[in-house]
Amino acid sequence: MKFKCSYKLPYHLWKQGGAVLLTVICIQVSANAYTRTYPVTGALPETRQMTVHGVVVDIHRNPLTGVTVTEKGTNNVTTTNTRGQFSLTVPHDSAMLHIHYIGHASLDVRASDAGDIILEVERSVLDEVVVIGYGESTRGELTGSVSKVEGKTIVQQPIQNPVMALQGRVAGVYISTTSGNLGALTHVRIRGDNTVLSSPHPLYIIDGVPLPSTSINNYDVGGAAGWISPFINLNAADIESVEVLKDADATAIYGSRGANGVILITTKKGKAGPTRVSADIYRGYQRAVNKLELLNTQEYIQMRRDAFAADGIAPSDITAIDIVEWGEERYTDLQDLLFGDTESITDAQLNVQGGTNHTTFMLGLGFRDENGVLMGKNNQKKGTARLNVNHRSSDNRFTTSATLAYTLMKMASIGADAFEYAWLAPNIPLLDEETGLPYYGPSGSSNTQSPLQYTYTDTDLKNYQFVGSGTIGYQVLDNLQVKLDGAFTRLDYNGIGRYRSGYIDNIWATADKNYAYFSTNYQYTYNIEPQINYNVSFGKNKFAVLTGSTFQHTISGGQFIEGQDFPSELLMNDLGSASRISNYNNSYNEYKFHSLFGRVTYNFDDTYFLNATFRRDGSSRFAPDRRFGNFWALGIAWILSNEQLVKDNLSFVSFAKLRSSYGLTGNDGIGNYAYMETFGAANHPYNFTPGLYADRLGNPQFRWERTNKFEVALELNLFNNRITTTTAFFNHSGSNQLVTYPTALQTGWSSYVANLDGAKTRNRGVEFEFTTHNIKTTDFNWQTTFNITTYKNTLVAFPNLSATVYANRYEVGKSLNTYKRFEFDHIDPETGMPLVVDQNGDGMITWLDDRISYGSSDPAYYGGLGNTFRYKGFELDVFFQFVKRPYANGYINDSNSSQPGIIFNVPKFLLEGIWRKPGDQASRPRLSTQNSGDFGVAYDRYGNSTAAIEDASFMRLKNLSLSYTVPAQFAKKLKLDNLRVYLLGQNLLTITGYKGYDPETPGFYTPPLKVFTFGLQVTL
Amino acid sequence: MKSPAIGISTLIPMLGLFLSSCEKFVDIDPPTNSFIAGTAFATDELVEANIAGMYSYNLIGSAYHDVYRHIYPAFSADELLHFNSPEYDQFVYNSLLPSNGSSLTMWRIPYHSIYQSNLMLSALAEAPNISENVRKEALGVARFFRALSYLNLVSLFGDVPLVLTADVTVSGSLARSPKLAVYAQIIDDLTQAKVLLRHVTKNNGWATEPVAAALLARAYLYQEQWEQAASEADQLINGPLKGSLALEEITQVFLRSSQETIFAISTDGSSRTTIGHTNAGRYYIPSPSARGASLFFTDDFLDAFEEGDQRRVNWVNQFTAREPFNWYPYKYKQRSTPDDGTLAENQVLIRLAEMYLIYAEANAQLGRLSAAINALNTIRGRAGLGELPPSLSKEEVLLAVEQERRVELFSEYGHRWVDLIRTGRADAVLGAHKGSSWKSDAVLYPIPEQDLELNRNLTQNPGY
Repeated sequence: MKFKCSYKLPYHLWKQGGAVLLTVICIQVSANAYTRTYPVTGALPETRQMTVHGVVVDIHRNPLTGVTVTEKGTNNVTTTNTRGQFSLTVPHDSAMLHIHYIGHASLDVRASDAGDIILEVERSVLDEVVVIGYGESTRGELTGSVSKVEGKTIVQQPIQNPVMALQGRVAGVYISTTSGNLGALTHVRIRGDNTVLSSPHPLYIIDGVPLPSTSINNYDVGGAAGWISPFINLNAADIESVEVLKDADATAIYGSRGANGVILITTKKGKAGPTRVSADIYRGYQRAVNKLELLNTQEYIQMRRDAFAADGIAPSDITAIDIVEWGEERYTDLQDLLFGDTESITDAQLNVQGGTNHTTFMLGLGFRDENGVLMGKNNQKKGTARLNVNHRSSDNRFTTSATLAYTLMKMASIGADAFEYAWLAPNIPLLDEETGLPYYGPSGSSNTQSPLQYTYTDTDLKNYQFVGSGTIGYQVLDNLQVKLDGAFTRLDYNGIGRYRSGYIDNIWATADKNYAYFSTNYQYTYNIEPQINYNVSFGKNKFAVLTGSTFQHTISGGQFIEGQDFPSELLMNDLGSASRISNYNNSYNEYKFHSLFGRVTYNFDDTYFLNATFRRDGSSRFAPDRRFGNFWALGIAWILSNEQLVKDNLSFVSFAKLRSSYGLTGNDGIGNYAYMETFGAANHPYNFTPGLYADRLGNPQFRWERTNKFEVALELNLFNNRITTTTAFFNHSGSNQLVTYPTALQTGWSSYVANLDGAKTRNRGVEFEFTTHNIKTTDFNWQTTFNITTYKNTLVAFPNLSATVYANRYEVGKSLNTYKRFEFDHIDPETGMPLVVDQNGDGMITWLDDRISYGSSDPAYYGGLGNTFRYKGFELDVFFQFVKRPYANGYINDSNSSQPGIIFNVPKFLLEGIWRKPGDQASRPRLSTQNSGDFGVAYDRYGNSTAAIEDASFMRLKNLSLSYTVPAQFAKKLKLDNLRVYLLGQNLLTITGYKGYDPETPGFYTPPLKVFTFGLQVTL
Repeated sequence: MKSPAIGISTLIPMLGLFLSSCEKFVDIDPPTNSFIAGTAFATDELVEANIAGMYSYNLIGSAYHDVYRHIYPAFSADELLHFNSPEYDQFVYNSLLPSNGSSLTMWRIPYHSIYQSNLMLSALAEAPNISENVRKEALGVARFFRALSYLNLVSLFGDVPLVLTADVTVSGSLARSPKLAVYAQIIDDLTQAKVLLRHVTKNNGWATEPVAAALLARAYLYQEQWEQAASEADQLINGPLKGSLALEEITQVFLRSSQETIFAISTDGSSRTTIGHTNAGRYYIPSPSARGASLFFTDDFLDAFEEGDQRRVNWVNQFTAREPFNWYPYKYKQRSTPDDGTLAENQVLIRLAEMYLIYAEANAQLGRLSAAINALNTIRGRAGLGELPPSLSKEEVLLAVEQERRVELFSEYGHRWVDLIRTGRADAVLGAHKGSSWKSDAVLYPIPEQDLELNRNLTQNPGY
């Protein structure tokens, strides 16, 4: 028996050396069954009645039994036998055969298409390919917890950072941003914080290559975003899919690096066939989602006067410059000035792909030009290029592929996120009348300085990322493949920050006229991974064995130079023009990681699965005798719906799988060299002598932290897969947590790295995902997706907690993210002072003894709800993200600038319910100009009390996408394969009771942006 | 399908290849721009670099001795005020919160310096490869900076943990030691430092024997060991250095060339940012583009000068862009790097005038009133003021010392605040000056909340 169909197996099947992949049905049609194959052209006369003989197999070359084969439009039907064979007599060779198999999508084949045919079945839910660590699997066979987001979902969100496009899409994954600034960092947490203070970031892998999870611009030149997210280097249009690996079974193959979950990004690959060129361009606008209603000048001055009256102080030149000098005429909407812009985005993509059966290629080019909403120049330009080439030899034994990707990004902004200036008094002079320069009041602090000073600052950041990776594989035997993956990545961030003479040098600045920062940061990584794949089967028993090794070496570092007093501000890009070099530094970091890993997957009768993974990791971040740790996981799955009992009695169940996993993982996310006590150059020379100074307190004692992860999940698909659901329960327990152990400053240090011996933490939660195909007709489709996650973080045990440095931070039985707050009692009706509860009744309010654990910053639950409607060429996608977070820092949290009455503007709602006169039963304290003294102390406690905690729950129309694909015949007239137009919107609507800027970024940051774009996609 | 045995037989040697790996693949070198603890004190050169590192951290990198220690205590006392800087209010109104970041800094920096001293002392206890003069210098510098740090801590916070080890697992839980024990350590350190440090005569920014002696005089005075205070001060005024160490003209006191300087932060060749100007100059002198002086003197302070005092004329200046609240400290004239370098200033930490005043105060306490009055008259004479009558009582002389210290040492190192506290005069003087915002308990800054939280053996000062 020959199966020539295998020649046309897509490349990635070969890459896996026969691992479990797509289900493919090979049909071989022959007039003379099983002995010879007709040529493709077809040798039989066209109208003669004929008997089609065929065999239906899956990718394992296992015959499929009971497949229905029907001559379309007739009752002429047969089924395949136990060898997968069928034969059917049809009246002519152009008859259509309809092939149907439960759990698989149906397909139609022309009887005359004799010869080798590969028919890739439209993937059923079960056969959906899922990328896993060092391989691929299918939804049906997975033993671990993996969620998948299609590239399409990412592309339809017109935002700069592809990781942000996962927001709300995946159960168990909580994503937030730090601000709405260009380049802002993202926080991704998979199933809560599994570690106390080690790196909480998931592992990011793009086509097998690890990427840095957080900013590498250690030397910063200023700029609005501060630290820059590394993910803005990715081009959304290059992404084929993103898989999120969550449980022990799925992540164990990455060992300790996968302790916080793994995000696998797979990029698009070329497909064999004619060369296709497609272009996609969109343009749109963005602005901050929200502004607050602050006081206008009159209201502000009134508040200030009332505050002075309440304090019994007369406003004077020294205490009330805003009343006495600035006058009541001037008004500036400072929010508008600082971040009120509506700005444009342009994004253009060009993609060329094609190839032969043995060699395919894909070239993707992207360009994005985006303006941020901040005052001054605020722009980001990104160019990306990605080339992927795959090749396999004519005997299919030898495979190779290479991907080269390069990103060039430029970013410009003012020297800082000057957001805090939005709360200056609304009557502050912007320009000094005499000098025409930004107004610089007598105070040494920002409250009397014009925000326009920031227009005299600007930063340029250039960012380059190169990722080159390659694979060489050789099929030693039919069931044995050896493979070598190698990758090199290099990131560079080079910045210049210019601070010109109109910028108000703060009191610490040492330049007379101007200064400029020059920085370079680099990180490069080699990652080499030899692997062996071995597959074997005996009857219904199938084994897949993977073994391999990882050698990773990362070097990072940078330089920082400050030049001062450039004679001309046009020369500020030229370090050589500086009057003097005033500051200079460099850094160097080395990290090595090495592991051995192995995985055995056992499949019995495609119904029972067992997956065992072992990994031994060594990391240079530990002292030499503590470098290696052993991690493992075990996953099992049982496809209930393959059991006859289920088939017979629960016919509405199209698929049911019960799976469970348990494993042990670790974490080395503690920074390099933490075990060494090191001495570096003192920051400054003294008297012409450079010095050495202890710059790191080493602790050689710490070792790998351990997290045990357990999961049990049920995947249930009903009504012919119209409803697909996954419900998972997880329990992660951590011990020996690595922490930056805080020490009293009297030691000379604030912390060192250590294990929290005996302390046990737990993250326990439930995830639920479902997709329903509500309406499925030829013209109209309606699909709903929903996911929700709830979890609880708990400190389970902490021996001797009260005697440790954590006594006042943590409480056994509460979340690690619990707030320690004074308990707000009431506003004293006589004095208007905010009062907090004296918990221990000693007559004194003290920081140590009178705070209680109050809620936690963990979300109570979160998720997303999406609806997709398709009608002919129209597609409408509406996606809501929701987060229930009952406890978050509210507007008044511990911030001097939010105290009504001092020389800062406040939102109107802060004046609602304030105490005005004795006897008032008020909900907010009285106005005061004092932030010290008795009232200052009381207000400080109030700001650190339960009253400053607010509910930051929200529901957000995260994404709206409306597209129209022009009917094929019209497109053809335009000589196009495909023509599509679309509208995209992001963060269009937010429903929340939160009173600050934005519930996603509680506190004082530039809020996220609202984006609206229009686009056009063309394929030639 | 071929036999699985063939596959397995191929697999095994492959596995062997992978398994031959391990330890060497995760070996790393220390960072290329660092030394690790074991080697950092290995040679004379490295020890000397560590000595320079101590100067750099203490005097240049920390902003402690030239900014924090000058300004914040001056707010707490009756000397300085500020314009609308909420973060300073807690000092001005003597209502520091235990969470105050600036008082935390005044706790953190000395203790980090003390760690470095302790590390150096233990590393050099046995250092066979280090030459004796380098070793002595290192031990002397370590003891000097440890004493300076403790003197600052004990002046501002009262009883403080006496950390004498670099082992943080020990030092992290130490309770506060009585002031007496801390002073005993300070005096011991300085006494030894005097022997260990170089006996050079000319100050050039390095701690030398006379510098240790001057600090010792200050420490004895604070501890009310009058005889020793007077003797140490006298040694500096009339000892072997007489001639090369002398009071300067009022206009010359803070210049690099000043003969009055005992110890100063060298602005020349130090720091990558200041060349010729001091941080105090930077801080006190308003920016030319500002609409006012952000720091300015209280009226009480300006009224304290007698008519004709040259210090009022030369060391106080007015910012004309704004009235009133515009008199600011002007001991240092350079806000920025001078073009020609002629006026280059050093940031003075200890100068001879203070020795005269220590000498006067200690002698007054000992009842040697004429010696005290003579010393005061020397200082007054230089400022263009007349002599004090010889008939003053002991109490009157002590008040004259207080007054003279006020107008001589203002805007230097927070002397006024420490003086009012150590002489028990804070309630009388500051109570009158500040009115109802003054509280007796404010004489000590709060132990930082952060450390109270991390070290349960610490106790808070009264009133916080």
